[in-house]
Amino acid sequence: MLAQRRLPAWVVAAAVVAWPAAGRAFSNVALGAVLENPVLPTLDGGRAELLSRQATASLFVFFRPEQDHSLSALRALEAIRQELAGKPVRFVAVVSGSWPPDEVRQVVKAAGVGWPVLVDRDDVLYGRLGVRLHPVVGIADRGARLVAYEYFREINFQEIVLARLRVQLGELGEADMARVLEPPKATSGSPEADARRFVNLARALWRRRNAPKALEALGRSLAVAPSAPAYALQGEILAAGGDCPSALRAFEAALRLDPADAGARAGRQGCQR
Amino acid sequence: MILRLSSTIRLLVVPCLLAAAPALAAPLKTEVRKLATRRGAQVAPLPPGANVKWSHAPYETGDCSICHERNDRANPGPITTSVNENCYSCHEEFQAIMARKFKHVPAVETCTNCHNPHNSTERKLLVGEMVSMCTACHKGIKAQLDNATVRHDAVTTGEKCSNCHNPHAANVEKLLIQLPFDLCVNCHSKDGMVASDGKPMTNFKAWLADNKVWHEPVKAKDCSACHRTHGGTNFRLLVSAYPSTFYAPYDTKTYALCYGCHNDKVVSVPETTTLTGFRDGSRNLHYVHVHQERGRTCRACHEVHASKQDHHIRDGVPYGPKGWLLKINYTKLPTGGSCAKTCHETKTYNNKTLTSSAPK
Repeated sequence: MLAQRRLPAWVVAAAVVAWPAAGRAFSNVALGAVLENPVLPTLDGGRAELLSRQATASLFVFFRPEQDHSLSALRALEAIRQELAGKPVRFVAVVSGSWPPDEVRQVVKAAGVGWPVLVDRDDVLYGRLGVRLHPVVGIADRGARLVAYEYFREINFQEIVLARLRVQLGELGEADMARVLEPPKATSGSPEADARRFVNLARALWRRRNAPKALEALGRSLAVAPSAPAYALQGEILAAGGDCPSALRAFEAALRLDPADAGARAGRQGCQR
Repeated sequence: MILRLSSTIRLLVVPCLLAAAPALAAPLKTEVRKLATRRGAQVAPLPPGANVKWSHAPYETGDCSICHERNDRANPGPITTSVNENCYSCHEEFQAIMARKFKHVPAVETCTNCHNPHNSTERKLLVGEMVSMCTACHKGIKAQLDNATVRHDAVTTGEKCSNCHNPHAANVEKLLIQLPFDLCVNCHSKDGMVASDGKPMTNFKAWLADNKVWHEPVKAKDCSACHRTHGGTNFRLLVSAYPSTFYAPYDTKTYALCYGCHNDKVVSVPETTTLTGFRDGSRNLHYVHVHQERGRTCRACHEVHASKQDHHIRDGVPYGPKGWLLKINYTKLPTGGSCAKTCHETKTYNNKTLTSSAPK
């Protein structure tokens, strides 16, 4: 049982004040609010605190048996725990006392979880925080301040929770976190990439002294997206064939696109001698 | 042998996407089977008479030595470096692509798992038609497609699997090109789309712009929390059961979709002071509305994607054959809330005390 059944007035006040600025988290406790730290019975018959005063980050997850998302979340969190092994992060799970202990043990075992499982008798903690969802993760800092709240996602749940912990550990910054929440689009092709590919092919052909085919490949590259390297290589091949006027035009075109292109500068000098 | 291939051709049942999805058994995770037929079986040029539509530039122009030891079509010898090194020497952008966090294991192993380096009947020099090729390993997805009574056109039209997945590497789990919502709205952001049952589909960009209280999975851009995107057996591609009608007798199993995240006790216990704010004293009003033979399903009061009011409470519900909007007239109050007369007489609830505001 919780040490006290009434939510301390200062927690309510903190939640009310923090709510609009910090955004929604648990229904009754906003991000930035200081959490109470009850001692609860554990599944194995002991007692444990919700939060650790020693850890840099305390992660707690509300879960329930007979639910795929809870099993997935516990597995993902265990994978995170292993990845952060040795770092000052503490994991606990919280389950309603209404579930038969054997059912809870089954899901905990299936997930490979070895960390404390706190039993929330009469759903008192659930009600105080205003949990509402299963599974849901809270992360508190050393001062028991709620710094992250994450409900389950089918996609990137593990990524996001791991990143939240790394932010707390000082390993990631807010900009890194933003990239985790909004990952860049994973495109493959682009006209520029196509153009570079033909330049690379031309380079390979030119290494084999196959000037006509190298020039043809460069023509395809330039048709897709003109670039300094393509013009510079074109100039190099033309100059090697003794066509300095055409080579100079190619070098000039390269330098218009990139005045610092070393190959084009050297080629132009060579042709001007 | 034209190419020096992986020396071991294995036939193992292992998850190809291990790197992409380190969490073990997510509900949508399906069986993936490595196949011997994927191990470079079709790297040789297609035989004469094949309906070749695409050729690799060096092969087309007879420049075998770009990849092989000799510039001799009849006897080119082995390739000069590993397959992927060879490919990346021209396709240099793949070095950056393959540095992304989530990698497709066949692509890491060798490009020729999926591509014929000489020619093909398929775009991108794929060794086979994309859906057949992908589902040759992704057996679970194949089973979903085969057994689907509700299909998703995105799987079989346009770029097919590549509409949503990057088959090489990505920054999102499941090799998704973007987060699910950003992919879904590529199609589901226009008016006039009709589902297979003839019902109009939502223009989500417009709907979300007009309704600012978003359901958490929508906020997280996690459409796949509720929708099985490859195909399924539930209406609207829902991942699990949810009543398709406005009224339905209460059974926990028929609300499996909602209880995937929400606590079923919010609805199934008649009395509570902790599980929900929609209670009058300790009388659970979710229970009152839903837990009956002609129970109101969640949609009676909640808008599942986005709404104008807190708690995803909808403005009104369509009523009658012409879809006349029956206003719910919900008002949030400091001590709870009230619903003005439409579905029933005006009623007020108080969740700040343990005593009901009205006789039970």
